[in-house]
Amino acid sequence: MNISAALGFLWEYRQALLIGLGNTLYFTALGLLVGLVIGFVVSVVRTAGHPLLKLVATGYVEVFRGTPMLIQLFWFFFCLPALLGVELGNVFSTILTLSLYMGAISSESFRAALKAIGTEQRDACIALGLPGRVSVPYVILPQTVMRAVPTLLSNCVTLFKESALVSTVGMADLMYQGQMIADSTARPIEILTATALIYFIIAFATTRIVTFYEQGYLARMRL
Amino acid sequence: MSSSFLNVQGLRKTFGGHLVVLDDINFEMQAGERVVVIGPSGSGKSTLLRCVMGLEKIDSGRIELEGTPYIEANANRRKDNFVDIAVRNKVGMVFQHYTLFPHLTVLGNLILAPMRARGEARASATDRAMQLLRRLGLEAKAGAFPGMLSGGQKQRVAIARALLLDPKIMLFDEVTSALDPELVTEVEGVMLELAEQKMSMMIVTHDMWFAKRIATRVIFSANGRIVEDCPPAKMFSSPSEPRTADFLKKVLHVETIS
Repeated sequence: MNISAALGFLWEYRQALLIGLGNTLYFTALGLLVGLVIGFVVSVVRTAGHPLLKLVATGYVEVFRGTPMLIQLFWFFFCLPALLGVELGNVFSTILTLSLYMGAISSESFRAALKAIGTEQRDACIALGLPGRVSVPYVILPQTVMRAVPTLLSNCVTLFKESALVSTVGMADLMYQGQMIADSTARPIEILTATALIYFIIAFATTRIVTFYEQGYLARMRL
Repeated sequence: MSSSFLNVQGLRKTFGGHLVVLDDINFEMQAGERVVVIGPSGSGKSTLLRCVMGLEKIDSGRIELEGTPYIEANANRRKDNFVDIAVRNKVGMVFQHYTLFPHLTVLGNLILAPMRARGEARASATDRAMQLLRRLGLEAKAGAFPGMLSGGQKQRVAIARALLLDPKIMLFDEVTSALDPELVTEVEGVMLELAEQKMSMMIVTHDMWFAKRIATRVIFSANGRIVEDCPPAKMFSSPSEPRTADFLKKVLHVETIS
């Protein structure tokens, strides 16, 4: 295969691939944002919540961690609208699935971090007379996030890669664009390899950041 | 109402209802007293301090500060004690493992509670914090994170953090036990300085020499009960209870210390 011809061919489709990448990043970012909030709240509930809420939260996490994301996506796209009798649309289904999936996997990361903080920090908060409105945002949350960041970033990488599944419900993400181009040009080798490379570069860079953060910041803080 | 400064009445604490850690503890303390609690491991010394701080749920009894009950076993609510938070906030505590907030600088650790829980302005809290750090020789460390400090420095910061809240009484729970021997004196020095300023203190320590030096009163506890309660001179030279004498003999490897 002629490399320069392949590159020339890919260059022609750069616009379509960039649009796909933009959508992938957009869905990942939205799923991340909502998912992290869900994940933190769920982890707090599972650590210190009412027994009934704990049960609900645990059920949610186990279901979303224990089933393929593809089924979750199809379920929200096909089944839920049928049950509710309302059309949810693929954008909403996509964001809902990514958020709930991210919420489930990140809650485990948050929970481990919360556990690592331990009772001594809580004792200190009481001894200093810090009410929950102070101790949660200024003591517990920052330490949880700092400790959870390495695993959360790998959760992000997972979400970023798994988001390729949204192409199955017709979302024009990177995977979808790559597939479309491959189908219409009948040149899957170049285009799918390039698509994979784009996923890889971003995922790899993120994992490098994790290592950098762990070795630099966390080590300095001795967390 | 009682005229004593700190009053612990009928304090009973169990773990899970059967393991009795503190069994009907009664004692009173006057302002300016420095009570050192000694006793074998598992005798409930640390638990007693934790109860006075309000960190433990108690099974029965009540604790008063300056005549106001602030912790009381609550039969109606299974989970919590009655706690008067305003009064409890007059109690300060320092722990064995420093418990500094690792994500905040030394200064950040000091001013968090005054600013966020007591509504003090940042400038005023910072000012007071820096004065205190200067007094403790820690001024240069104000911007450092706890992870960068030695154990002795960490513990002095922890003491400063508690002092900045103007406590009426300070509780010290084995604050030198985790320190390397050469760092112990710098922390004990701060405590002796507080003693000179007539700070009321309750101290749990394994260091009998320090106990003798700082205490105005020594309590020997064993099996969750107060066995003996007397001035240090008597405790360390002629304890009345055989159990006390036996314990002191073991920890000091001599009959008495002079």
